[in-house]
Order: sequence, then C-alpha cells, then structure tokens
Amino acid sequence: MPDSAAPESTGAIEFRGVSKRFPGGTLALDGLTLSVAPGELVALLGSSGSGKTTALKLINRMEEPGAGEILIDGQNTAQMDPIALRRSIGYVIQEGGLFPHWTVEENVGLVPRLLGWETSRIAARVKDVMALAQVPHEEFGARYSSTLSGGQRQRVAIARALAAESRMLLLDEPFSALDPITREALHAEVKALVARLGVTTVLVTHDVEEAFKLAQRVALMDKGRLIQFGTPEALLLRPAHEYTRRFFEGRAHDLKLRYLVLARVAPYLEPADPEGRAVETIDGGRSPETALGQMLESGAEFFAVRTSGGAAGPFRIRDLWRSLKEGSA
Amino acid sequence: MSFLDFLRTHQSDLMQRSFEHVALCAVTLASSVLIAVPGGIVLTRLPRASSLVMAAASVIQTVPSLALLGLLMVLTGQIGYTPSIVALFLYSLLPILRNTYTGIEQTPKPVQQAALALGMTPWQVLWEVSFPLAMPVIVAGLRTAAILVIGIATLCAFIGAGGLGVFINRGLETVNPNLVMLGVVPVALMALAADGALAWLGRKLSPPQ
Repeated sequence: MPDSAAPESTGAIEFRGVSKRFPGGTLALDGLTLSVAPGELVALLGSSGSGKTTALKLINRMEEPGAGEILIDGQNTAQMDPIALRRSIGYVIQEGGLFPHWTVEENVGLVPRLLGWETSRIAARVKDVMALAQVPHEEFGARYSSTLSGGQRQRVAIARALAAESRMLLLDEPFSALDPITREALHAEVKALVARLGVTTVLVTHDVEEAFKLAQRVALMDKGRLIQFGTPEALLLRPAHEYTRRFFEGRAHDLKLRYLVLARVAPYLEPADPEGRAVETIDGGRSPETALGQMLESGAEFFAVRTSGGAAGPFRIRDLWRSLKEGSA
Repeated sequence: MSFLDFLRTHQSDLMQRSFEHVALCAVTLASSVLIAVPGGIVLTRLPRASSLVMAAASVIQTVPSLALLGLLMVLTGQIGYTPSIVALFLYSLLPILRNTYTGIEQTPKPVQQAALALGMTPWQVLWEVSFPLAMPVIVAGLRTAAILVIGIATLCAFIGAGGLGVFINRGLETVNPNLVMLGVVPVALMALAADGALAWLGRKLSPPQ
C-alpha cells in the first residue's frame, strides 16, 4: 500500500529568508528561515499575530511571500502551479471546513476526484483513509457533516487531507475548537497516524502543551520572527532567548510536570539497589511522570528499572525530585 | 347575477386574460433570472461595482409602479407589451440580484478556505460549493420577485398590455364588483400558486445537509 511507507524520502519543506507584509503595512513574517525534514512533525507555536498561520499558508501558496523563497523537496514553490501544489498537500483548518452539502464520503474523496482518479480507486482509497482516521466508512460514509460531533468532523477533515496520498500535511489549529477529552484522543491519534504514514506535518498552535506533546521540533514565533527552533526539551531547558524564557514563565509548575513527561527515567538511576526489594519495575525509556503515576498507584517507593543493558536501578522518589530540579534548572 | 354565473358567461374572456397575464409574468421572470442570477454572481467578484449596482436596483424599486410605467411609455415611445415587460423586469431585478449576491457571499469562510486550500479552482469553488449552498436564498429571491410581478402586472392593463388588470380597470370604471372580482381572484390565486410552487422548488433545490 502506498501509504505504509514513503517510497522515497519526500516532503521536505524549507523556508529561506521569507518575509511577508500585509497590505495594511504590518510585517507578518520577518526573515523566516526554517526547515522541516521529511516525515517530521513540526509545531509553529506562538500567540496571535506571531505569523505562524501566515507561515503555514505560504507553504501551499494560499499566501505569496514578499521576499525569500519556500522550497519543497528542494524546488521553489514559486515555480509550481499553485493549484497542483495545493492538491499535493493535505490541509485541515480549525473548524474542519467540511462541505455541508456533500456526504462525508464525497468530502473525503474531493482531492482524488480533482486529480482525476478513477472512481473505483477513489472509493477504495476513501474507505482506507476513513478507517485510518477512525471514522469507518460503513458508519459515516453517507452522513452529512451537520450530524457529526466536533471530533468526528475533524477526523473526517484529516481523512480528507490525507486522501490523495499527500506527503505533507498542514494543520491550522485543528484541535482548538474541541472539548478537552476529544482533543486528548485526537492528539494521540494524529501523532500515531502521521508517524505511521511518514507524512511531513506542520502544526500551527498557540497551545504549548499541544505543541510539546505532538511535535518532534517546535518553532517558537513572535511578531513574525522565529525566536527559537528545537526539540521541546531544548526550548524548555535551554531557552536561547529572553522571549522563550518569558513565554514559559509563570507556568513553572506546569513546566516541571511537563518535563516529567519529556524526560526519561534512565539517566537518574542510582548505581545499585542496596536493599534489593523493588516492588515495581519500569522500563528505562518511560518518563518520570509514568513512574510517579505508578508510585502513586502502587505505593511503591522505588522501582527496579529495566534498560537495554539489563536490569538496573533503583529509581526512587528522590530521583524524581532530582529529575525535576535538573529539568527546570 | 351571482359571481359564479358571471364567471361562467365570461369564461373564454377569462382564459385569454389569464394567459396574457401569465405570459407577461413568465417572460419577465425568465429574463430576470437569466440576467440577475449571473449578474449577482459576477458582482460577488466585483466588490466595488456591487454596492453601486445594488443601490441603483434599490432606487428603481422605490419608483411607484404607475409612474414607472408612464415613464417607460415615454422612453420607449410605445404602449403595450414592451414598456410593461421592461418595467416588470426592472422591479423583479433587485430581489433576485440581491439574493444571488448575498447567497453566494454567505458561503461560510472556513468552507471557502478549505475548498481553495485543498486545490479547487475559484471556478470550482463557485460552481460546486457556493452556488449549491446559495440555492435556497436565490430561489427565495425569485419567490419575492414572482409575487411582486404578478401583482404589479395588473397595472400594465393601463398601458394596454392586457392581462387580468383589464377586468379590474373596466370593473372600476363601470362600478361592476363582479368584473373587479374576475380580475382580483385569479391574480390572488396565481400569486398563491407561484408562491407555493417556488417554495417547493426551493426545498427541492436545497442541498441535503
């Protein structure tokens, strides 16, 4: 199946010194340089007016740059046909933007139809992609969007965005209108789905938690400029800029907890287990937060930790504090 | 003589005038749809021209019908069909034009944005998305126009265009209530029928949701 793995490494997105000024005179983007590797999930994080949505729209030429260039797989998008370019890139917006007068099935089949696929191929692909997005065709295919819940609509929108076997996916705050429980579920699903398909994904969000949970790398933006681009851990632990520090400030408590999610248990092990009475075991690759959860649940004070080198340990409550302290230092 | 007896004796006359009336309205509405629906669509692409055209169409609507008929009689130098159809056409233009314009403009922004972002051409967005979604609003405009035209068409008898207005005129001149009724009742029925038929058409053409 074409979507099980990328036939070749395609879907690299690169911004080279891109600026964009709106007719009113506001500088929406100021010399943005950033590259997204094939198959990577990058979040553009920032408050409103940071330029993150403009950056996203420049990728599929819903906006045109004032200066600089955007490359896809090394090729300047300015030389591509914008319509063909858009059909090759999946796109999901906040409210889904499903066509209310079309069935779910027709919505999902849109881009393959625009591309002129044969009817039978469209039907098969629509079924596959709806299964992937967890809106089974048998149940949802003939329905209209007005009968769907918010979460179901976004799932359909994601299926529609992936239907034409796109190598790239643009997500413009697709989770922000959802209730917290649905949002959690969709976060996990989308992360797993794009990882499985190897689709290069750019996510625009103002939600730190969301960016950190989903993205391999986060681009923090402010007033059209890229402030810092790196892994969530790097942004959190090694803020390279005053703005980064301030952006996370006042959420110190949250941040510590977040670090517990990001970190791994393994580095905080003590050399040996002196008393040899570990009541629980945990994998070295799990996060301190998981360990904390298990401790709270079982009442255990420490774990024997399994690492690739065999059993080691223990990991204790105080190591948890140590991971926190180092994490937020 | 009772109205029913009167009706029986004037049957063939009634048929002829009804036919004239329907013809007058049908020709007017058909040409109005042919001009105003594409016109309304074009105006959605011309934001500056649109307010001007809408204002002009609104002004026409404020001119009293008899005055407009008189004016057109002078302008066209004719009586009868031509000035009547032009006048009725001008009256019916605004509701259809305005409803087409607003219907298309009302396409939800996220839907429009998603359509373009997924690679539909502007023409495809208009034809496959905006137009079907605007259909109920457009038909509602046609419904307003139809009722308007069926009513105003009775006045066209004054300038010799025939129709059911002939009975009303003559009935008023000769103080013959039966003759007035012979014009009024079919006009009212016609308006009701058109309203019902177009309401049905509106539902029929509304996209499923």
